[in-house]
Order: sequence, then structure tokens, then C-alpha cells
Amino acid sequence: MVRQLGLFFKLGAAPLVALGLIWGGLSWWTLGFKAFTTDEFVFQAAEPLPRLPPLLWFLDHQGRGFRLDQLRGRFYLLNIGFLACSVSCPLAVEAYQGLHQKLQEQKETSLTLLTLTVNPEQDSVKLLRLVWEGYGSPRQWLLASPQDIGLEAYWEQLKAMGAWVELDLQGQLRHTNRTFLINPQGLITQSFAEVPTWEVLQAALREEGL
Amino acid sequence: MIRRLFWALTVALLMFPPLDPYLDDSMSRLMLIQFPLLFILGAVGVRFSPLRLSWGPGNALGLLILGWGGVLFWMVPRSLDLAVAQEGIDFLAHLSLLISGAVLALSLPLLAFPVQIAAAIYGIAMWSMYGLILSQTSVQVCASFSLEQQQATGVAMLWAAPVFLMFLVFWTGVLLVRQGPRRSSD
Repeated sequence: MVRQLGLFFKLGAAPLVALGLIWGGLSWWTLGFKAFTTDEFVFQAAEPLPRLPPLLWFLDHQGRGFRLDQLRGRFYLLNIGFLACSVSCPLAVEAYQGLHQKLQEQKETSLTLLTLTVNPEQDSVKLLRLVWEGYGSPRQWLLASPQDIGLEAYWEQLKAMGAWVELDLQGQLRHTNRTFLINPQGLITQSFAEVPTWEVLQAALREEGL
Repeated sequence: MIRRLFWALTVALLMFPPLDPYLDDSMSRLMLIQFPLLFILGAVGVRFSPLRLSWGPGNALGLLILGWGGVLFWMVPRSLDLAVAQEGIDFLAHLSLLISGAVLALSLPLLAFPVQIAAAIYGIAMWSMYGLILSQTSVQVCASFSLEQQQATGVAMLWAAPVFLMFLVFWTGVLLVRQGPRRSSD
């Protein structure tokens, strides 16, 4: 066996073996070359769509309670973030503000924007309300904070949904910008790597029969 | 002895706090300072080690490919995010880049001159392509770094690529001069 292996390498098979190892390793690491980013990996590892959102209680910026898996009767565009975020949230907030403006212009009332904070310890309901007012009190945009759940368990639930949240080595919160579309039956039916543009969102809603 | 000590100190400085968290905090510092320096230090470290290979060119080429594979792995955005978020993975990244550098330094001398040049051109091409992707993509590739940081890093990598290429041309010239003119019997 050892002699055969020696002959194998004498014949110059080492480059092929090395290429095979790299190819196989990368394929395994990226779920078959489909998930090169953390966002894609977490999303691919979650259950396939359509699926129910995790069973979580929230309070919105007005102090009204709701359960994520019981959102019914309208479309919701859900993303995650936190108020002190300076990495990806400013762009997402800008995109949500643009979407909200379009919703108002088009008088489209069947969709509500929903942002869940990933840092409930800092982002209290009171603070969310102040920030919401700072955004110009957008009627079709809810900011919400989870209730009755530990931080780690909450992040695990978000991961199971397909959104990544983690503390880095400097203790800073990192998260992906994945956005989810919840249909009137309460199912997550579509997902976007970033906040979708108005055109992409319209196409998604058309696909949902709106 | 002093050189070895200096090498070890530089490696330790790059791999551990307080400098490591500072380098990890910015994509530019990570991609343009920490990772390339660890890779180069790995290659330089071979000079202080008695380890030498006497393999044939086929096996050396296999080793070279594995070395580049080690670098390629840390270019995957998901790997980079994990390295920034988890201490163990961060250490593993540093270690594997050191090893990749060492592996390249061990395998390159066993290969023919054109293969050595091809390997270096491949490395520069890989670096440039990554820079191009980072600078041109309008989507945040790494969850740990902002879009601005990502694009700035991409641009800086693209600026660095011609410098590497110039160095390669210069080094090739030096090697060719050292080798002397070809004799007819060669």
C-alpha cells in the first residue's frame, strides 16, 4: 500500500491531489460553491422558503406587543439592525427611508416595513420611539425590540431564520443585511441579501400576487 | 540569533494583542498589512529553519498548490468574518498564513524557473482579482466590514498589485543576471 502510494506520488500525482483537496475543501466550506459570504452561508443553512418566522415576542416603538410568527393580513419587509451600528445599518436605514417614501407616493398600504433590533439591551422601546420620530414618524415602518428572551437565544433564533448576528473580538456587534418578505399568511416567502430597491420589491410583490 | 529573535518578535507582535485587535478592526489593515506580512514572515522563517525538502518537481508543485490554497481560503469572505469574530479562528488564520508562506518558500526552489515565475504571476493575479471584486462590488461582501472599508481596501489592493509586479520583474532580472548567459550546451 505504502509502495503504491509512493509510486502514485512518483508519477507526479501530487498536484492533482492538492487541487482535489482545495477543490473539495472549498466546495465543503461554501456549501457547494453557493455560499461564499457569511450571509449566504447562514441563509443556505436555514430551512428552505417558504417558512414560518421564529416564535418570538416583540414590542414595537409604540409599546404594542406582537408575535413574529403571527403577523398576518399584510406584507411585511423585515430586516435587522441596531441603533449604534455604523457598519451596515446607515445604508439600510437610508434604503428603508427611500422605500417608505415610495410606499407613501404610490399609496401602497398593504406593506409594512419592520426593523428588529439585535441589541435590545441598548435599544429600549423608548429609544426606538425617539429614533422613529427622528426618521419623521414613518407610519408604515415599525421598529421593534424582542421580549422575554436572552440575547444569545435571540441571535440563535435569528440565525435559524437566516440572519447572522455575532459579537466580534472587540465586542462590537456584527450582522448581515438580509431582508425577508413575510406574506399575508405569515410565511417568509422571499429573501434578499440587501434591502431591495423599490423596483425589486415591486417585482417580488407582483410575484406574490399583489 | 538576533535575526531569529527579531523574526519571532515580529510574528508575535502581529499575531497577538495589542496589535492584533487593532489590525483586525479595519479591512485595509487586515488585508494589506497583517495577512501579507504573516505570509512573508512565514516564507522568511524558512531561512531560520533546518527544514529542507528534496522532493521531485511534481510533489513540490503539489505543495505549492496547497500553499496557495491556504491563502485562497482566507480570501473567502465567510472565512474572513469568522477570523474577525472568533479568537480561535483568528489564530488559525495567522498560523495557516505563516505555514502557507513557509510552504511556498520550501517548494519554489525545487521548481523550474518558469514555474516559479508563473506561481508569482498567479499570486499577483489572485490578489488583483480580489481587489477588483472588493472595489467594484456595491454589496457588502464581509459582514464585519462596512462597504466603504471594503471598497477602499479593494482600491488599495489594486494600487499595490503593480508594485508587486514591478518587484517581480526586478527580481526576475536579478535572477537572470545571476544565472549568467546561456551556454550552447545547455
